[in-house]
Amino acid sequence: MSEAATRHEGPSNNMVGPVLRAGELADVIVEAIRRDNPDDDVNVIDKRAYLRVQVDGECVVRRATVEELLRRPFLMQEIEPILASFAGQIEATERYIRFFLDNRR
Amino acid sequence: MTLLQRSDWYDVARDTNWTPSFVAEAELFPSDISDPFDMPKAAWAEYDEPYKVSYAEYVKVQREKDAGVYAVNTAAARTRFMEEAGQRWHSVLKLHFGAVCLAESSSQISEGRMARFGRAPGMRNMATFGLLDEIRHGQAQLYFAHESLRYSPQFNFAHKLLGTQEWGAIMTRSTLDDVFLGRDAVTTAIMLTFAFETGFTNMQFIGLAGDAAEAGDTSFSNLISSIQTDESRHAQIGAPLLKLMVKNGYKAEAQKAVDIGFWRTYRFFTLLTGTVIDYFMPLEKRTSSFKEFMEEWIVDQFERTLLDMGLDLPWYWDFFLEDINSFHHGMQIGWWLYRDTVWFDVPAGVSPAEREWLEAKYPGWNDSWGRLWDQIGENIRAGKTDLTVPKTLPVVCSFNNLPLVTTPGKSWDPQGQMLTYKGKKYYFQSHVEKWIFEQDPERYAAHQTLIDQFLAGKIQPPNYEGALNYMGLSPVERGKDAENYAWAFAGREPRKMAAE
Amino acid sequence: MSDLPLLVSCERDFLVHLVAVPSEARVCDLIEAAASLVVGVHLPDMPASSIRLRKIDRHEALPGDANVVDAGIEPMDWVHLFFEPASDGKPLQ
Repeated sequence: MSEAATRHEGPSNNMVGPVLRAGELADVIVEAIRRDNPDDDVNVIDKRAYLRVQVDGECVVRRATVEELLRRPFLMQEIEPILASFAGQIEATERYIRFFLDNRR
Repeated sequence: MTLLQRSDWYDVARDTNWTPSFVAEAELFPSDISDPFDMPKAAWAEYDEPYKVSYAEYVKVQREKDAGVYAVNTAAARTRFMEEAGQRWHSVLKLHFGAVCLAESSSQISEGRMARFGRAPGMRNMATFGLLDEIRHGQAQLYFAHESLRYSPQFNFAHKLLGTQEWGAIMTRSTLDDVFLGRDAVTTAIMLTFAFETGFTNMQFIGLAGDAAEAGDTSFSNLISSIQTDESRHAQIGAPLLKLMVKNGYKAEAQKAVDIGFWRTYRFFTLLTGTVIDYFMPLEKRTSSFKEFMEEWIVDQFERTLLDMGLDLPWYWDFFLEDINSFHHGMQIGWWLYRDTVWFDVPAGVSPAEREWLEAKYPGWNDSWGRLWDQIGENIRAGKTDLTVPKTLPVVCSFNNLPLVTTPGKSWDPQGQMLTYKGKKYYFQSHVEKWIFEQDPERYAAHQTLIDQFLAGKIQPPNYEGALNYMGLSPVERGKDAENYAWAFAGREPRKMAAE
Repeated sequence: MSDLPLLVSCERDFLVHLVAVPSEARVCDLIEAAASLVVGVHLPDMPASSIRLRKIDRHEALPGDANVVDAGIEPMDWVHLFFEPASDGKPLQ
């Protein structure tokens, strides 16, 4: 897992994504995010208790991808116990969770 | 048998906006407590909660969360962490539990209000879960605090604080009354779930969880970050509401509620989180400065979301960015000087190494705040600790109830800080507090700050000791210097000390 | 309690104290009472003769030998201590 410096770009930044409580599932979700957003640079800031995942403009994580990585069935809401916060807006469905902005700046 | 997917039935099941036949709609949802803007039904119909959950899912996930929190606590109990953690960390916990445990009860009422008086079924659903969440938060944190009672009677303030006239209690109650309890369902959703919960609780419950993990308190770190996962869900009550308000011509009303709620909440967390992160935390365990946390959670994350909702930055934005460099330093020196008015031992947090850190994070700190600490340290080294004990009360802001402070060397702003309303003089921390007061003076004018109570003769005898008793602090509960003044002697040669 | 509760701040200090003086007190008595909370406490010692008092929203110092009420000070007014001569010729705060 790469660790990058926190980017402070003020309220005009377009970074979205989850803030995950650290642990095994968080590492899996980060890997799933890398796979589900192949064209984007996925920035992960490791704060020991939590990981801040940042993607420019939109960040998706799909149930199928997590299942592939875990090699077991996974319900999307199983992410809730580690989803401490997120940047951007959220769309949470049974198949995916998407973090996004309506208006990029 | 195959169960239906949630999305197959959710929209039908949540549609509980039936047409009332026994009472009129306006009686079922009185505007004063429901929607003071009387937004049309068509606007409310657009409300679509982005973070949907069914009751079965909720129970399953919450059970898992609680199992994790208590399992880690049981495991941590075997490590003797608390016995070895030191007074500074105990103070972090006492402050957190005192300010937060019973505040969760206020959140329960707020969520209950939105669950009953929200005009959109989805809003009511989410708030129902939110209410259950807040019961969990109150119970879990009280349990953890109660377990710590064996280390100090000061932990009792987790339960006791908000029933006292301690100044921090007056401040907390006043904030909760204004943001959580005394508002209609719409304004509560904006001020509490949006400003308070998607904004500032992140700092206290995730930022501090990071520091707690560094400090080795896995149990507390795990507890508060688990709580924030509930917040992360139910805080989404506000977002769809803001969007529909902007779209349907209620942007000004929404913006005003955000501007008021944000500022009130900011002051609360500056006291609570700012001082802890920059002064209480053992230096080697700090992950970021308060200002850096503010930049991460508030400037980059919260405000960006605010703009995405179609709202603007609060009108006082530039002043806010300046204020995060200074206000909490004043609160910290206030905590320390008035340490016998609080329920935890206060670390000064200004040993030479810590001062170097503060100067690096807040350039100019040594020349302003540092000079006050220079004199205080000198008095301690000269054996004149009596000079570090206050003789009178500080004047507190008529609105936020916190002591009025300025950066040493910086002018006060009399015009922005004073107001006479119906013959009474009101004093404010800044022009922002004054602006909020002026938006609805009748709401705030009759509030009695600690100073008002003193002037009304409620504190007897009318002196500092009388005030301490009035605040409900027995001698064993009153705070002391957390390190017995060791910081004032740190890095000094014994001979030099003797010479001073 | 004394007759005249006041808010008192001080140049180079950071907070506002609640100070009460009898209405028959002189401005210099008020200066002495208020300065004792700050000078040598948060701020380095200064000779009492260098400390002046003004209303927070006025520039001119109030005469030290005047009675506080005659000097125009009313209950719950905000007054401010400053030092003279200021090092750079003008008060800092």
